[in-house]
Amino acid sequence: MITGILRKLLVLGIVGAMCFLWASDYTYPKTIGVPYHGLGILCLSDKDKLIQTGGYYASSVFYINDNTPEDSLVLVTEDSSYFYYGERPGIYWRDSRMRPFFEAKTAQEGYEYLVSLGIDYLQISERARQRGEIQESWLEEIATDSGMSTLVWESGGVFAATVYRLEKGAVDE
Amino acid sequence: MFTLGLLLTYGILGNALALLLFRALQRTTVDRASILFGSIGLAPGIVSIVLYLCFLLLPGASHFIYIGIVLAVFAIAPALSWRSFPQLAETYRSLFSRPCYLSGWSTIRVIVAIAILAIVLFASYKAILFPIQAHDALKHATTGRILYENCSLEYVPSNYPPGLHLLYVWSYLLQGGISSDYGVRTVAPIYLILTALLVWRWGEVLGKGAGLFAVLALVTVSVYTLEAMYNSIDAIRIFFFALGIFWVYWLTVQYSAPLLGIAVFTLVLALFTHAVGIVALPIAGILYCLFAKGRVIRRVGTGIALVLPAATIGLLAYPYQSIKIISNLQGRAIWLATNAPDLSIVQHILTNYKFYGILPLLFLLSLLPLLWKGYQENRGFIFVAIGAVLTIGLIYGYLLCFDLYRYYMTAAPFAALCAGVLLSTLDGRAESS
Repeated sequence: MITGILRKLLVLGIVGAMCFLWASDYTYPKTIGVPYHGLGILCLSDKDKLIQTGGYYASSVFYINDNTPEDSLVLVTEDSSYFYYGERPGIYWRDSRMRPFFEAKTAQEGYEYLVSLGIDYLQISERARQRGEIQESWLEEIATDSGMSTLVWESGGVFAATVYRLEKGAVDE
Repeated sequence: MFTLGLLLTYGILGNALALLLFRALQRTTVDRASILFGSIGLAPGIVSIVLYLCFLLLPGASHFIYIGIVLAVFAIAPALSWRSFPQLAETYRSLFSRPCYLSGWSTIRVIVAIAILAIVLFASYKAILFPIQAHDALKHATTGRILYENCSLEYVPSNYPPGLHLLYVWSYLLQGGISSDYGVRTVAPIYLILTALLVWRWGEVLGKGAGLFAVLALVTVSVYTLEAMYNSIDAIRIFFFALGIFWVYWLTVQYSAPLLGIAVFTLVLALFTHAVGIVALPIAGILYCLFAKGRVIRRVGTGIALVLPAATIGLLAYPYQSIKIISNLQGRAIWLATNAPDLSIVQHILTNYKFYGILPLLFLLSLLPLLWKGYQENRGFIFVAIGAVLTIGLIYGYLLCFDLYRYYMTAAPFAALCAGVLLSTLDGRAESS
C-alpha cells in the first residue's frame, strides 16, 4: 500500500518536474524578444504583432517599407527578416558585391563604393555591430559621419537596430 | 483557401496514401493507426518530391499544371486500393469510437493527457497565429517563396535539401499567391502533432500505457516544442527520421517487401528534408541487422537493400548538397580519428535542462531495468534504446562539436519512448499495488 502510494507520488513528481521545466524554460522565447502578451494581440495584423513582440529586426524593416521611396536600395545586416518582410531591394552585407567595400582603405573610399553601388539606406543591427568583419570595416564611421549619412530611425531592446540614409553629397569629384 | 489547402494536403492526400499503405501492408502486423499517422505525414513529403520533379522537367509552367500533376499522382492511390476503404473507416472508428478516452484512466494519466494537450495547443497557437520571426524559419520561408515565384530549381539552396521549401511552394500554389503565409506556418505544428501521435502509437506497442507518457516526455523537451513554435525545420525532419526508423522496427518484426519499400522511401524523405537525415541511414542498417530474424547473410543483405537505395536516390537527387555532406563527413571522420572523444557532450546533454528538460536523465534511468531479465525480453524497448544511443553518437560524429544543440533532439522520440516505458511501468505497478 505504502509502496504503491510512493510510486504514484514518484510518477506524479516526475510528470510535474517535466511540465515545470518546460514551463520555466519558456524564458527562452523572452531572450529572442517574444514576451507574454494578452489575447488582444490576436486581433492585430501580422505587421503589428511583429512590432509589438519586437520580432526579429522587423520594426526596422517596416520603417524602411513605410518611409522610403520604392526604388531605394538598402544595405542590410539582417537578411532573414529583411528579405521576407522587406518591400525594397536590398544587398546583404555578405553579398559578393560588398567585397570591395570591406577592402576599402579609407572611410571615404568605402562610402564612395556604397554610393556607386546605388545604396540609399543602411540597416545596421546591434548584433551585426559586434561582428569582427563589420567592426573592421568603415561602416560605423560612415554611419556616424553626418556628412556621409543621417540617422533616420533607431530602436532598442533585444533586436536593436538603426537605419541611416546615405547622403550622396560627400562624394569627391 | 488556407483551410481547404490544409484539408487537401493532410486530409485527402494523407488518407489516399493511407488506403494504398493499408493495402500494401495488409499482410503485416503493423498497427493501422500508425500507418494512418505515417501516411498523413508522408503525403506532403511525396508532394515535395513530385514538385521537385515538376520543376526539374517542367520549369516555369502554369501553377495549375503543377497542382494537377500532384493530384493526378495521388489519384493513383485510391484507384489502386479502394478496397481498403473499410479498413480506413475501421481505423477511424477505433480511434474515435470511445466516448471518452479518459474513462478508466488513473488520475496521473488524466493529468498527463491534459498537460500534453495544453503544450501542443500552445505551440500550435504560437506557430500559426503569430508571424514567422525566427532567423532560420524566415530563411526557409523566403526560399519557398522564391521557388514559388520562379517555379524552377535554379534557386534551390546549396546548404539545405529542398523538401521543406517545396512543401511551402505547395501551400503557396494552393493559396494562389504569397499574400498570406498561414499554410507555411502550419507545417511545423502539424508535424509536431504527427510525431506525437506516432510516438503515442509506437509507445503503446512497446508497453501498455507507455504511449501517453512517451508523448509527454517528447513535448516537454522545450527546445523541440519551441522550435515548432518558431516554424523551424526540426519538427518535419524529426518526424521523417523517426518514421523511417519506425518502419525499420516493423521490418525487424516481420519482413515484407512493401514494408521495405516504404522504409526506403521514408529514409529518402528524411534525407530530402534535412541533411541530418543521412544519420538515419546507418542507424536503420545497424538496427535492422541487429534485430531482424533469420540468417546473418540475409539480414546484412536486407540491411544493405534498406540503406543503399535511400542513400543513392537521396544523394543523387541533389548533387550539390551531397558533395557538401560527403565533404563534411570526411572532415569529421578525420577529426574523430585523430582526436580524443569529447565526453563533455554527455554532461551537456544530461545537465542542459533548459534545452532537453529531464528527458536525458529519464532515458538513462529507463535503461537500468534492463538489468532485470523481464525487461531484456522487450525487444522493442531495446530497439528504441539502441536507436537513441546511436542517434546521439552519430549526430555527435556529424557535428563534431555541440554548437548546434538542437540537432541532438533528433534522438528525442526514441529517448521519449524509453522514458514512456519506464513511467508507465512505474504507474502500472502503482495501480496494481
